[in-house]
Amino acid sequence: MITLVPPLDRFERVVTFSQTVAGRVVLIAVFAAGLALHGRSWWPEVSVLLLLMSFLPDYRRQLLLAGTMYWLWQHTPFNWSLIMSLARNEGVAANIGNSLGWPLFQVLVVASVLVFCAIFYSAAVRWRNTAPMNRPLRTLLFSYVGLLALATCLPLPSLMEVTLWAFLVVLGRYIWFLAYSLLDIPSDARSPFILQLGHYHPFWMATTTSPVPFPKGAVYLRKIEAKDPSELAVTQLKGVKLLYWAVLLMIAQTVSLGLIYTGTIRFWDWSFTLPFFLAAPRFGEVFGSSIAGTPADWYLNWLALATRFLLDLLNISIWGHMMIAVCRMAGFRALRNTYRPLRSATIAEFWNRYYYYFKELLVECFFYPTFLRYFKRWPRFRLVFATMAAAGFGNVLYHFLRDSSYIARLGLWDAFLSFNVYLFYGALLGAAIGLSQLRHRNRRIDRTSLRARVLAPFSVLAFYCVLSIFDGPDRSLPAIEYFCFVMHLVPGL
Amino acid sequence: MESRQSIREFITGLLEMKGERSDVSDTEPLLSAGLLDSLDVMQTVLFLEENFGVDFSVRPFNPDDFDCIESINRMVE
Repeated sequence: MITLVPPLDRFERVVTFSQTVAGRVVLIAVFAAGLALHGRSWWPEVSVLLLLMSFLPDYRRQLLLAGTMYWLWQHTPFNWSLIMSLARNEGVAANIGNSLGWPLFQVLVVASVLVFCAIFYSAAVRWRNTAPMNRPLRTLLFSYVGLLALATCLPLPSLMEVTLWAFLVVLGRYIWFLAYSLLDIPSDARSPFILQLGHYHPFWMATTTSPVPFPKGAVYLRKIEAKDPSELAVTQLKGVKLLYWAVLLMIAQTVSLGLIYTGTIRFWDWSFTLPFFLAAPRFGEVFGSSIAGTPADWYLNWLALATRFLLDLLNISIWGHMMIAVCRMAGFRALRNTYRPLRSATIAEFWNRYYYYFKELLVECFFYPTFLRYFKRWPRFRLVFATMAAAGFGNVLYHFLRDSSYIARLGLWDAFLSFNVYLFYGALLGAAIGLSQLRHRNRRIDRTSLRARVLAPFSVLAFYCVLSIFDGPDRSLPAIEYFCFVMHLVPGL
Repeated sequence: MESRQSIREFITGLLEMKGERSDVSDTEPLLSAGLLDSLDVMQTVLFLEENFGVDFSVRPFNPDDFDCIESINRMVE
């Protein structure tokens, strides 16, 4: 079997060399070259940080905090355009600009959110045995939804309303990071809160504004931190491997886009035209035709849907690999976010392999608490119910809170109503994963037969491919449009 | 000692069902190494509830306790 990226972490001499001063510098240089190949303009800043973390492993957590704070300052992950647009609509944009200035306003808002997180965390530690802090995550989520309701319902003065929304938008990006801190409270070895801030949107999440914590929280980071030079070398070599694998996937993505859609392949500054290409329609085009009442042929609908699904799969792999590669270079041997999803033999397995850290967030925040508390006498129902709580309810709640622009624009209730399609998506996904777990519980996963290697993964992918229709970002369309598109996948309909 | 053996058999059974290698030591990380995932933790919870009467609704639940056979065994001893 051809290995595209050599298993450097298993070559003893490479591991030994990577522990020397020269070896560490070479590793960082190779990694920096990979980031540059990936087209990341911030590769010099990350390389300096990684170099410091490699040579000063005793100060890794402090450097992580410093790096994350630097990143927060230089590459803000918050949706300030939403706040500015709200301020313009309310007629207070000029007031803020003239009195404080927007940069200072932003700094004050972010600082107040971090202070809120610190106060909430301290309160949860101090009153951990008394209500409502005996279930701090529930209290946090209720408080956040309550503040959203206040912001949308109360007739606040314009400046106060804009400030409250700015606070809520920033808190929304941090809420799941704070959730992981709260989950760390029972642990005897919990980190001081100030150091936990280092992994509140850490610098390796530079390519994203996603509120999903990569890779999880303090408990996990303590567990996976390299303990000695040998572990650090292996972890960093795994990081280099993953980054170059992501570069190869990026090349595959570019070639696929050319072959499927555009007929042109662009690598960095080079560009060439292909003699032939598929000229497949984009999903947006066939979906638009379906809405307009002039649906494309069923096979074109399938082609557009399947290519979008597979390219999205490729995209999330590249995106996750980038972050995890930097995280590994920083000395944390995190698992990949996406791991061989095409090998999934069951619906539950795909969910685990496709977007691991999102699944872990839902499992830790929703699945465990539900599973441990409810329906203990009905083990089968208990499993399905807890899965629905995570993949259904938790999933929908996460996306609802993430898309705060809808809540700001429509109000809490109308934004909830606009989520009806995603509600259906969450309910179907939760039920399917729950049933899949029940069906395959206590059964060995067969990975040898033709059925297991081809038919089962194909069926699983087909399910998620069709389900992805309901995972559209446009919340304004009625559910019927999505069901109509599903019908247009069937020949003759 | 008996509980450790019983837990070991259960965990190796889980690993075999997933098609993972099952020759793990008592202190080898299972969760953080990706051999088991959070859904396997729930299978382990069921196993501990049914076989050792552990009640996680009254004792603190920490997924970290499920990271290796030894730490799982500490919960039942």
